Amino acid sequence: MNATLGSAGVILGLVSCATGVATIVVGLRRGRPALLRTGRTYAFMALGGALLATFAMERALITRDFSVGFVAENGSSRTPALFNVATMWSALEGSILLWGLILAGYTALIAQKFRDRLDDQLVAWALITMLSVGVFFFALMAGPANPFNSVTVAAGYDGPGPNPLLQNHPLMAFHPPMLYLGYVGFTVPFAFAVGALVTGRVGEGWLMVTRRWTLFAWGFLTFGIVLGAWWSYEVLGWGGYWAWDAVENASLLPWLTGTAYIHSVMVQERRGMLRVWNLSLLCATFALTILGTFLTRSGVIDSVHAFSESQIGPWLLSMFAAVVVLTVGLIGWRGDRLRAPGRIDSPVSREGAFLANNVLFAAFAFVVLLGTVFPLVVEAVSDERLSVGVPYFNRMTMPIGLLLLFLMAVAPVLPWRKASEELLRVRLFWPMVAGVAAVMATVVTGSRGLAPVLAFGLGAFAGGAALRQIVLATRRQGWRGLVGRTNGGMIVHLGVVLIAIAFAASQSYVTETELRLSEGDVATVGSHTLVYEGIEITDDAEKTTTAALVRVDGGKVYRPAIELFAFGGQSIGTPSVSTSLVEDVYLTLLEQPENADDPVVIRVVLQPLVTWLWIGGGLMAVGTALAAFPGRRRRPTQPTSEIVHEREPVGAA
Amino acid sequence: MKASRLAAWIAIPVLFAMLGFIFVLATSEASGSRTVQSPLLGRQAPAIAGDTVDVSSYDLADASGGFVVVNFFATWCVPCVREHPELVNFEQRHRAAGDASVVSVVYDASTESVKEFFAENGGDWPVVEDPVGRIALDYGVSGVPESYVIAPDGTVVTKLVGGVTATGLDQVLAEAKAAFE
Amino acid sequence: MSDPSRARWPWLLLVALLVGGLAVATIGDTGPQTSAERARGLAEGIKCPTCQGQSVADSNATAARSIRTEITRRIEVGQSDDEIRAYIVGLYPDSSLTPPRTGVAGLVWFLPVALFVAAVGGLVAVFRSWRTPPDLSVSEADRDLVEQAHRAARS
Repeated sequence: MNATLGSAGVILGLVSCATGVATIVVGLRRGRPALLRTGRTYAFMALGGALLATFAMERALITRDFSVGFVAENGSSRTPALFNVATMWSALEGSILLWGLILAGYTALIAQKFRDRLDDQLVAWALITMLSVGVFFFALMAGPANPFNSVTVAAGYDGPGPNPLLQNHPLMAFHPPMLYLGYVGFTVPFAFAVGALVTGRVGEGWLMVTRRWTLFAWGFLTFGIVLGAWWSYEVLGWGGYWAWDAVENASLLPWLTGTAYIHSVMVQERRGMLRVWNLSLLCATFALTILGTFLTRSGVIDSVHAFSESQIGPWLLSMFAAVVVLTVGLIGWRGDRLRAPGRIDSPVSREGAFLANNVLFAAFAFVVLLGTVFPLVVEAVSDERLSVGVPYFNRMTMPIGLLLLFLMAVAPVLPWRKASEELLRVRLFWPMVAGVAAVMATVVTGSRGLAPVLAFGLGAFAGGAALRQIVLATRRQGWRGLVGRTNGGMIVHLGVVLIAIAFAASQSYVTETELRLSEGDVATVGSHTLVYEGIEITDDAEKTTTAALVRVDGGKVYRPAIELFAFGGQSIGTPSVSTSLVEDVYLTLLEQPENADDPVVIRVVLQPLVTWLWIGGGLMAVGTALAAFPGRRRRPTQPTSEIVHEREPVGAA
Repeated sequence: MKASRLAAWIAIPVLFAMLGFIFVLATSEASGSRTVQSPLLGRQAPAIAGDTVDVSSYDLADASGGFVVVNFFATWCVPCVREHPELVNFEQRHRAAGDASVVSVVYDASTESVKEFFAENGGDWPVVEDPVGRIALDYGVSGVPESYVIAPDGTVVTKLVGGVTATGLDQVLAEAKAAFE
Repeated sequence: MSDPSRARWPWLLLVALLVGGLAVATIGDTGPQTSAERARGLAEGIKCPTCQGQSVADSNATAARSIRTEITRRIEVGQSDDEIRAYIVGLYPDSSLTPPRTGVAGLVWFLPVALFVAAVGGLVAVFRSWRTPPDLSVSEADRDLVEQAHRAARS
């Protein structure tokens, strides 16, 4: 029943998307606006199909309908309610379904928002692009990643449940949907970029209408990545949150190009320049989401987060190839027609800073991409085998990160076109004071090492600059000084500064030890006192939990544990973290004692300022939301069909 | 402004680079199917000496004369359970023939569970404990089960990753013998 | 804005403080000192052989833990970081997470730097070309036009 319902939903989605694409193409060819306007119907039908499939899947998971293949392989009657819902995105097929649902949602929203302009060629091409991507994902579900294949199981069968690591923490219920809202959201600006390229429409209209969509996608991607890091920290048990793992890199890559875009797009809005570059960034961002999905779903790269090997690798790679050939071809064909004849008067100007920002973000993305795929490339050309990991990424991205912090401090105070030395001296004075004070303070309190101290100083410098902007804006405009893109952007910058400082501190000043403790033993690690108070074993239907009771600093008792899952006999460690704003004490139980009074082995990791990563992530999300609010100087949205004359007279500076 | 072809000239090399990249990705094997060449082959086998689960001791250096199959296993590993009857079969025949012996090394499993494992699945060859994983480390074990065939002169002849079969081991042994003589 | 920000001397003072602070931070940085710090540094650079893409420092798998134990033991025996690294890479051939700087593998270090330098160089060249003002030479016809306009305005 559920299998039939779900399959019907998938087929409905596939057929609607395919028919929609065909109808709009025919409409464009024959010049029939009436056909173009039906696009909205198809978009909503596709959404209906996706909703039906998702409903069938969730229903099958909640009612434990093991006749659905996906539920038989990933569901179980022992899984708690929240994780039962989240089981959908804990394995490959369900995650593709989630992708399809979100994509169909975005497509329907776009069709709704632009319902009066569906006969505009640019919108028509954007809708063709979105529906074509929809065809691909629904085809995946109908073919190689079918979540609804019917299976027959013996009476009394119970499934294995999702991977134990994935049903360990509530964050798992939220991190993937957030990430996907971001990942998939970049399809919208990409679709409009394709529309602009195909129609050769010079104006900035498409860019204005997708501005908020892009911000939305970017905000969710940011939030999703931070939640993912937090999940790793709380669940994986090694005390870290970012390991430059292939899957993490796959989510970071579109974020980097997307971040470059939301900065450089301001140059285009203001000065009409960098048009082709911005289109390329959007195309690259979308292509990277597909590439990332390929890398993590096809089994070519090892990763703790990767889904198991599957048959969809060749499909995703073909999709990536198609996107690359089409977009690079379009840009090569149309690019020169779109180029604007503007020029930048001085490198020391707002637009110069944005240009530098883009070079740095592009370099960052290149380093991450190269490091991720380099082992594959080397193996292909020379049969040599090698690994690229944390030391490489840290060494290569550290200077880029520091330069970006420096730019973050300087760029917000720079005026457009040209800046004088005196203006810089005045505007940067207090931020500079903050930066130097941070350097002095950290050195005096004993921090050593050029990179971390520089990171603290530049962080304070950038934070000072952002605060200065916020203070000036709120003085001038009251509460409105907190909303709008520029002001919201400054709040995002503050979040980035917090993350940068927390990252530098927790990476540079980490201490770890392994302790072998008998009951009653007291150990001192750093400035913390740990007392081992014995073992606690709890049994429930699904797992046996062996927890070591450790009292930290005479206060609360923490319970690092090893959980032995009844089904499949897999055992996983569950860390326990004593969190404070200054330093985290991260406890992992390494060895399960055979007898209750045997000594236990506990790994202790001390990391300063980790909590500020999550606070910074929250601040970035808040800032993005504020940036999406219309600010004071809101420009009326121009209709896409209008040709915008933004060219400014030569020498107007 | 004269017509510039800059975008086209940049797009062409980018396209070719990307196509090359896609070709590399398309021809990459899945990471799981890559085999590992052990640097130990042909070299002197690292020592295996220590307590066994039945509280006696074992030393590889004392193994007299024949070939030795060193098997790294764990009680929780499914392929280990599957290969065990094959090992039992192999060991019994060659113990009778006197040309090869088997020694197992415990990989991250408790003594109790190992005793149970052998009681359930058979086999009574020496099972060496490896509490801190020193032996596995010396052999470069990267997963269980893994087996090494060691010649009478103490050199490592073969590394087998994954479950073994009695016939497979027989074949490896026959080849090793031919090469050794 | 207050007065000090307009003058030059506070900036000189700030820069002096900054240079001083950074110098102390750099000179005081003696690298990993304790054996625990050295062990962590080494473990971060070695891939855990049984895990998927994690380093030895990041994994609690048996193999990772025994490698950590071995690193600590060898540090206590007095071996250098290079010796320990060579020993482990000898056991597990592709376990070093730091790619070599020579041969084809060296490209992973060299390519990003080369492309970055090329990009910055390209931008500098573009700015140079922009600085030379566009061809604004005025032709006789233009002068005549202006002249005519002036006359028209005066009359």
